Amino acid sequence: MKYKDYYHVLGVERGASGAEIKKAYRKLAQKYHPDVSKDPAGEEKFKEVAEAYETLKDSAKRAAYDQLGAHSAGEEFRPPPDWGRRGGAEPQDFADLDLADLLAGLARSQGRGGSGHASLRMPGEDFEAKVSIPLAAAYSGTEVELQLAMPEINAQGFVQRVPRTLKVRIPKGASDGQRLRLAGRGGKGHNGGRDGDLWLNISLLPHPLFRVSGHDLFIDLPLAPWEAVLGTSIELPTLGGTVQLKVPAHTDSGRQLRLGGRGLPKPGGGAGDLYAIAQIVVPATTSEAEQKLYEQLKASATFNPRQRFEQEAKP
Amino acid sequence: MTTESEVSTWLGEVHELSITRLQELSGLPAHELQELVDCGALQPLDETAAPLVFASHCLLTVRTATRLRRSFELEPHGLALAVSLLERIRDLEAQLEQVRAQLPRSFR
Repeated sequence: MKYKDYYHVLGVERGASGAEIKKAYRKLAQKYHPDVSKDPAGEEKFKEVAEAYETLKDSAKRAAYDQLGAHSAGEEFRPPPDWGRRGGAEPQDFADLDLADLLAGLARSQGRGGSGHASLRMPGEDFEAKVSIPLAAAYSGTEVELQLAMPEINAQGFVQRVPRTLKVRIPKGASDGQRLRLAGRGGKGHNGGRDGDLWLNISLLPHPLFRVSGHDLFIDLPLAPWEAVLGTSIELPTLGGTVQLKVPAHTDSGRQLRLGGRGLPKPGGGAGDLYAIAQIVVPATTSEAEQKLYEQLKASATFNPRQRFEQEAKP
Repeated sequence: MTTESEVSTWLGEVHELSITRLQELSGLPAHELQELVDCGALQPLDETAAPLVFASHCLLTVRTATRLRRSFELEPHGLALAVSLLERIRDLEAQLEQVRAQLPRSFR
């Protein structure tokens, strides 16, 4: 079994008072709690902090933990021979056990630890996992593999984290931040309690062409000045393949051309829209012939792009 | 190591959740859900309806509130305030993302 230095995790001395431990926990929880932290590593860090606090806030668990002695974090160790025997059965093999699970099991066997009574119906633990998928996978649906350490009760009645691989089908209909619920695929329930659920928090990986808002997609549509003025028909990429888009004459920069139902599919049916945002772009260089044509246009055009300046600047 | 295939449901596929369904999905007992309603952390669609009905996104609210209460040992009014502020932040972030998606790439 690997040793975890809970005092070090919370940044307190081994002799810290309960108030000092609580203060240190709250400070770290505010920093790393997944509901308030933007730190990508925050969730894992919070789990460590919460696990440390769960043990050190409880005087009996803390005493049991202290009896293990001080070791280096991550060091393989075995509890002393008499450790935890007062509470009931001692596991035969500590190698696969997690320290937090062992301490929780000890608290349960001593009749503490809340809902841990042996005959009580206990629901399985709900799990949450973050999954990032490409936009194309959200459009057509995909399958991902998740590696999870699920708590299961071993033959000796001790909780053990068992690595499990779940192959999960993500149906089409995902949008960024959407949650997918896999009923009954969390931790196993005990004594007839329901199995927990697995919740997937989906995020969409950035796409080089499309930007996402809900189930709508946005794409920049670069147009040459003459295309914007005269109108044109272009081939526009969509997630479902290329479509022909008619660009009306006199399309201004920033104008959004909507292609209904060409966005991401929605879970209940239908789909979002695709918006092509016109962007008038100019060539970096022009040939002599082109230059002459522009000069001719300049000489004959009556268009004033800064007409508003003149109107608004009048006293 | 085991491998299993899944049947899945999107949150939001169903627009409304009864309090019984919300209880089932969140794993919280009815009296704890009622406490969240009483402290204002959870808003039913119609406060006068019986039994209460909630918008499906309330499931996220319940899960957030449960985690915050457990992690910070918050009293009900503090919990309601924290949950409402977090939801405001989520709404604003969603609006920001919507605006950013509409900006041409060269402006972002």
